Amino acid sequence: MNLLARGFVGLGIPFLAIVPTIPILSHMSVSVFGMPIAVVWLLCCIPLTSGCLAVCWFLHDRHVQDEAPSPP
Amino acid sequence: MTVIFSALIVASLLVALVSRRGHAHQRAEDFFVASGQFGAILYFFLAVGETYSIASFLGFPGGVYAHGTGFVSWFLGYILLSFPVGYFLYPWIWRAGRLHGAVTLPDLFARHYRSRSLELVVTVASIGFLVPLGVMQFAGLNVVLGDLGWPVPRVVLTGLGGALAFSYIAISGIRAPAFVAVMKDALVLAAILLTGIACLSAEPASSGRAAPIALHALPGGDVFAMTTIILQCIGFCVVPQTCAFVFTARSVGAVRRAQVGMPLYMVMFPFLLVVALYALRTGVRPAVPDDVLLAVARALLPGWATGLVMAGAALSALVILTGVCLALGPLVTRNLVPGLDSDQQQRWAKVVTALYLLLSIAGAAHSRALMAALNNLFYFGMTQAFPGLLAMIVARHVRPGAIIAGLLAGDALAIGLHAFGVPMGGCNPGLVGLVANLAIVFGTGWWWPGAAVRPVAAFRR
Repeated sequence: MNLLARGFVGLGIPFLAIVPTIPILSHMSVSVFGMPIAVVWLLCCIPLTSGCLAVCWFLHDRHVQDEAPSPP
Repeated sequence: MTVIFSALIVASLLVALVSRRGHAHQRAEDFFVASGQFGAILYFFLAVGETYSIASFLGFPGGVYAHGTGFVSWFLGYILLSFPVGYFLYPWIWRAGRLHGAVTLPDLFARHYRSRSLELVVTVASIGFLVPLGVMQFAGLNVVLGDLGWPVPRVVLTGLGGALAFSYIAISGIRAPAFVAVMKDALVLAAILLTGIACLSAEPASSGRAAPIALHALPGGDVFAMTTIILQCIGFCVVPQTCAFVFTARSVGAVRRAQVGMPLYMVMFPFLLVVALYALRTGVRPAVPDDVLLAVARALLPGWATGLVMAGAALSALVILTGVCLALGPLVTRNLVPGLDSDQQQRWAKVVTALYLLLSIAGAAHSRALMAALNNLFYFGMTQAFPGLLAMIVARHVRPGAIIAGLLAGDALAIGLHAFGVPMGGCNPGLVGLVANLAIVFGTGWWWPGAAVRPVAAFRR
């Protein structure tokens, strides 16, 4: 997984799922199980965000040798 | 209810005593940040313990009860987005901390830029941010302790809460809240699941028969809600106590693994939402909106389970209080008054902690409205540390003076726009200040470069 893909999956997808999406859904009068769709979608974003970060960890960061920096 | 509540609070003190085993004689770094020895699991519990305060457990259902579902988007949105931001930002804060042997956020600025004035500005801003947080926790504690119905003045009960928080710190520094946080998280999850399931059981056919929940607009309008979410998810990651917790981690991997799991802890929020909606549908009337969780618990749960809910809420306030005190102590004893040795730092930090707890108890009793206003101001004020932190990580020629100028200008602009109600197209004034701050820090680095300072990113092997 390259750095660009890692940034998109880890940061881009969670932000796109909330920042432009929630206002759009907030103006729709659709309900799911009696709840506004914006609220249902936001609750779905909880496992989505964790999943995105898990993809970054398992496909990239887990394999990076990352020790504490040492001063020169 | 009272027996279970008291037993769990006493048990938390025993857990704090257990955390002291093997660490009876601590250096300052061990006392404040566990010498960076926490693995992913303990770091996870400390971080989530400090993320979800009593304001989350009482304030979230209270906000939905009072303001409707629009409140959910803002509240969950910014907490949820702070986890991806932390996943990418915390490893750099951790590396900077290791590089400079830092215990506090101002330590980073002082040692990276070798500037006492920059250290002082960040220290004063950090202390200012932390002051209202203690009042907020005691205000929440007031609600919980008031529901116990004990014939004791409220200020005595909150005083006992303050004494308990002080005891955790005196026993073993940062290790005590980390260990107590494990117990508190288990209690809180159990309490919220119990109450939520009780609501669903008490109203089994609600999803099929009841009218759909009304759709409420986002608080302050779409632009304001979204810009507030962006500002706060960044601010959440750079507040002083967050940096201190990052320094407790053993490795970058420990920080990242904990960040992956943290959103899943938010599973409690759907249950808190169910509790608030149950109260709205069935006419449970709490004395104040923040009391809705406890009012529903009292109405539906047996006494022992209500005691468990109350203990979970009280411990969530106490864990946050200890974390804030342990962030505040070294700000005073290392950054404001430099030159103290390790023992003096711990001793004076305990004095600062005691004073802070007393002031917070007094604040909670008298000036909650003022503190709520200050909390808002300082939240977007503290986010102004982000550009300086970013410059420390990636930029080579930024002057310490530029970071001070950016921080002060960002704060002044945000507070000025907020105070005078200047319309910014609905944008949160704090975010406008942050953009101005970023422009000053990186603009001066480009057009008026200072001496080269090797950025943290350049130290990676």
